Parts: sequence; C-alpha cells; structure tokens
Amino acid sequence: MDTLQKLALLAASARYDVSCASSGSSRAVGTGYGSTVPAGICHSFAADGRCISLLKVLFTNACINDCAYCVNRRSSSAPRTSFEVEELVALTESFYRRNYIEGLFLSSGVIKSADYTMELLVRTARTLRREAGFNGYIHVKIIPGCSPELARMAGFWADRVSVNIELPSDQSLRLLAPEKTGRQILHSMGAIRSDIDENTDSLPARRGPAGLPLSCTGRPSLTTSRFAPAGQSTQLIVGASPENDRHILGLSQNLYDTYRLRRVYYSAFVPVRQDERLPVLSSPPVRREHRLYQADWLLRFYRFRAEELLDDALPFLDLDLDPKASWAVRHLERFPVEVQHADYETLLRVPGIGVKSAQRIVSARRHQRLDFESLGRIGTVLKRARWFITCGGRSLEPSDPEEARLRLRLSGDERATDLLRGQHLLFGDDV
Amino acid sequence: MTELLYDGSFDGFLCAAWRYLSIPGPVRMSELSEQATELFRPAFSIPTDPETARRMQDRFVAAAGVEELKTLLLVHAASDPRRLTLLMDYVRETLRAGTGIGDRMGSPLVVAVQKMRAHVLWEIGKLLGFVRLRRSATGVWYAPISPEANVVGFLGPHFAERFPDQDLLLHDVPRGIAFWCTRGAGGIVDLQGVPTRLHALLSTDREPLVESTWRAYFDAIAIPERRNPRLQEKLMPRRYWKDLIERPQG
Repeated sequence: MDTLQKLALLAASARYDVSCASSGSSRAVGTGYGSTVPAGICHSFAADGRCISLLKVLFTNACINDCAYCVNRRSSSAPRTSFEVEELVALTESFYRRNYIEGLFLSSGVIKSADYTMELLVRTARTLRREAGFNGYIHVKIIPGCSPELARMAGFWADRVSVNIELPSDQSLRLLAPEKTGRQILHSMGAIRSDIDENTDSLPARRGPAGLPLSCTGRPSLTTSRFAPAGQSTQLIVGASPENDRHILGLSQNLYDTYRLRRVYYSAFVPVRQDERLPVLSSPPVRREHRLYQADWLLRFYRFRAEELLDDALPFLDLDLDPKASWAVRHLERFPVEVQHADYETLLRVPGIGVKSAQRIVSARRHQRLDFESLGRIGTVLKRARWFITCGGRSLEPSDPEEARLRLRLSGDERATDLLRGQHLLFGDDV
Repeated sequence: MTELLYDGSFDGFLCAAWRYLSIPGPVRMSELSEQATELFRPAFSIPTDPETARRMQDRFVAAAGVEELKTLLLVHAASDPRRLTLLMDYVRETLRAGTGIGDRMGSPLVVAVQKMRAHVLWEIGKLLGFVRLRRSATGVWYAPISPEANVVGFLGPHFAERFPDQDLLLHDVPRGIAFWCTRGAGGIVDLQGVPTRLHALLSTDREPLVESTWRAYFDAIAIPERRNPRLQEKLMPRRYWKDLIERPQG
C-alpha cells in the first residue's frame, strides 16, 4: 500500500474523532519552522461541514480491543494498515509547508499493547519536533492503560493531549468497550492535570504573528505550561448508550471542575454496524448533539451550572428550544431584565444576548442611554430578547407572557433561523 | 464639494486625511485610480509624503490609541466603496471624542466602521487557512489568492514567521500585487507589468502527487452519514474555491 492509500484508510478510520481544534497553545518556539495561533486556524471544511485544521489520522487501524461502536474493532473485517514513523512525519511536513494544515492529530488503534502503541505515537511526535524542526500544532491521543511515563513524554512534545472517555458511564463501558474502565480513564486525566499544573509558569501572554492586527483572535493566556500548553480534552459518544443528558452534562461539569479540561466533545453515535448491544438508529442524533454543545457552551462561557439546566424532572435537553431559552421560560420570575442597569452576569442569561453583545451593552451604556434600535445595532437578537428585557422602562411585549405561549414563539423563531444544524462546529476551535 | 485624490496607499490616505481636516466644506476622497470623471469639480491630488503621514498617524494615535489605528488600517483595506467616506467621518469623530470610540456601539457611524473592520478581519482569518502554497521548480513557494479586501499585506507576516526557511510569493491575482518574502523578511511588490512570464511559470507548476494525496485526505475525513454541503459552503464560501487544491462538492 502506498502512502496515499494508507492515508485514505487511516483518515477514514479517524474521522469519527470529533476534535480538530488547533487552538489554545502558546508554546515557546525553538529553531525550525512552524508556529501556533492561539485561536487556531481552520484550513478547509469537509463535505460534512466540519472544520479541517489538523491532519487527523490513526497511526494504525489494527486494534486488539473490540469496542462495539468502533469501525476499527478487532472483530471487524476492515482492511488494516499502519504508517511508519518517518512516513507520517514526512506527510505532516509536506502538508504543513503548503498550508493545508495547522499540524497533526494523532490517534491509534491499539496494537500489541497500550505501551507499545503509545511509544509509536510518542516517537512520531518526538521525531517531528526534534528531527524535522516542526513547531506546528500536535495533538496526541493517550492510549488508555499506557504507562504514566509514556503519557508524560507525549505531553512534553504535544500541544494538547486527550484521553477519550468514550461512554458516559462504567456500565456502558463494560457493555460496549469491555477493555476500558472509567477509573483508568479518569486516572489518566488526573495525571495529565497534575503534569500541567507542575509545569505551569506565569509568563506573559504570547503575541500573535508579528504585524498581524488579529487582536480579536483568542484570549491572552496568563500562564503557559511546558506540558501540553493547549491543555487536555476528551470526547464521548452520545446515543450509543442509555444515559440521559442530565447525566452527561453533570459528567462534563465534573470534568471541567476537577480535571480542568479545555473541551468536552460530543459525538452523535453513527451506527456503523449492527450489534445487539447497540441501539437501532436511522441516523446519528445530531440535534441532540447540537443541544449538548449549546449547553456545554453555557457551562463554559455563560456561567451556568449543569444542575441549573437539567434535573430529575427534566433529564433531557429540549430538542425544540435551545437550552438558554428553555431555562429562561422556566424562570420567568427572573425577567424582564432592565438592560440599562443589569449586571453582566444577568445579561448573559437573557436569550438573544450573547457574550459579545452583553459586553457591548455594558460598555455602550457608559456613554449613552440605550434604546431598542441601538440594542439591535449592537447585535442583540431582539426577536428573542424582546420577551425578556426592558430598556429604559419600556418593553416591546406585554408583561407576564405565559410560559407555553412563549415556548411556542421561541421555538418557531428558532426553526425559522436554525437552518444549518451542527453550527456549533463554527465554534469548534475555541480554547 | 472638494475632491481629494490620493494614490491608494495607507500613507496616502493619512496625507489626504491631514488635508481633509483643514477643509471646512464637504469633501470627497477617492483613489487616483477610481477618480470620478466629472468635469469642473475641484480635485486636489494629494502627494504621499511620509512625514505628513507620520504626523497624522501620531495625532490620531495620541487621541484614540493604537487599536483605533488598526481599525483605520483594516477598514482602509476593505473593498466596500463607502469605506473612504466612513473613514473620513470616523477620523474627525475620533479626534473629537478620543479613546474608547470603538466601544460606542450606539453610534451608527461606529457600528458601520466596526462591521467593516470585522468583515476584513473575518476574511484575513479565513485566508490564513485557505492559502495554498505550492513549490515551483524555481524553489519559490507560490500561492495565488483572490481576496475581496486588500489583505495580502496582513497575511504576509504570518507566513513569513511560520516558514522562515521558505521563499514565498503570495500573489493577489486580481490586484496584481504580491507579498514577497525570503528568509523570513519581505514586503509588498507590484507585479503589474511583470506577470505574464513569471505568472505563467508559477501558476502552471503543479505538484500532482502531494496534491492528489491531499485530495484523498479531504475526501476521506468527511463523515458520509453527516453530509452537509450547505454548511460547508457557508463556512468556506464558493469564491475561495478556485485557489484551493481540494474540491468541495457544494
């Protein structure tokens, strides 16, 4: 098999991994070539609308594990192949120098043992950095069960490392991925967090490329780590097992709080095969995945907690209404909010007001009194916000709207505007 | 109405702005190449003088800060024909209002300028990813681009820093200009008049093996069950496709 044929196979085997982000890194650059940009760069968009930032491949698609949901499981009859370390390094370099990619995302099926496989991934990352002089972005997947020393070495060569949690509970792992355990996965995440903490210095934020007026691209980081400077992430599959959204979001909240993950990625289960342990789905649950990303966004940027969004009485996110609007119509006692005075945190909770428009409201009202027209110019989506705000005491809608009526109006608006499902992938590259 | 003509460069714009501030009546600013053909209208050709440009820049930065100077640079690069009129008002307003003008999002002028700035930044962000370099037989890494705004000068330094060991030529084909860079340092060059031989040489030099390998990757990485060409086209507008190596399906 030549490199092109191997690439086609090993990219197709890696495509169900969600993350392609090249963001959040601020590594000191040595000699050689290549750089990272804090906000990440999308180099292309595939036919599924997902950003292509990194060369995302498996080192090999052979695997000793037999995870029910996986195209590369041991019992599958798929053709198998493997890169050579030098071959993959040369391929990465040739794509990178032509500006096709920001770097390499390297994962793998497990061959022989977790340590044997992890060693190959570490060798690839080390060869790229040391011998090829590559300073672009590298994301290395940590093979569950590999020795902590190998995981640590990966973190020193890579910008980001990740351990996939795969499924949201131990029971589901036992059933569908019998070789993996939740304890083992969380243990790896804990070790990565410690390594990041131990290797973090307070350094001035790295500037963007010289001369580029890209101040809007990415937030400056106050600290930088020599170990996995872009932090760690994980992904889990949604819809292959019975856990509800409340369980999943609670898990994500815990991962953000306890392990300081930069991102949790959600991957709608794509039924690649029939198996009695797996649900029968006509298509991947992309709408549910979309709602989870929106809720995850609320956890990370809107100061919501998972338990505010879902509880025992409401264990699944509303498919017809985005999670913020759904929360707002269930808490009408908190509205309307007066935009002339409300604090930033309160503004963030208004449907139709995003992070940017909340910031703009706070800064614009220092200079002038706001009216609905200026709110519109600032970027507030009045079609949604009108039900939840007053401006200088004025309201665009009668007070005390009923929950049911409001729900209907908001979901109707969303259906009319939300034509491009999966738009969260626009934001796939944040830090 | 007084018409001020300048050479289209940012320094030229600053010189025209310097003159504009001393004219009491209505003023229109145009690039020499865009001069309206109305006869009998007073038109002044403003020479580009680095010293005047520096004085205007210093005065502006002292009043509003460096971030606002970036706004001027970016909006000046926009392709929107209203940009010069907006910028003149913006310069006058900024000198009056001082720092923080960019935050005054209640003002229609500020909103229009910020929108234009955001659009240019958006295009720069897109092109940082969409530029496709290829190695010609001469050893030069060549990329043809066709941006809407005049952004090749903003893109160049990123590539110069990223590829310090590559000789680069980022060619804005419609404008006939290029960012040329060798060993990490470079600048804008005018390719008008030169291009036929050079361009023919560079644009026909292809790299079939690496290009077909990239296309194979591009095709294999999409999840067939999640095909969404509308989203693909929204995020990667069709006008950029002709300079790509991969073939989006649309």
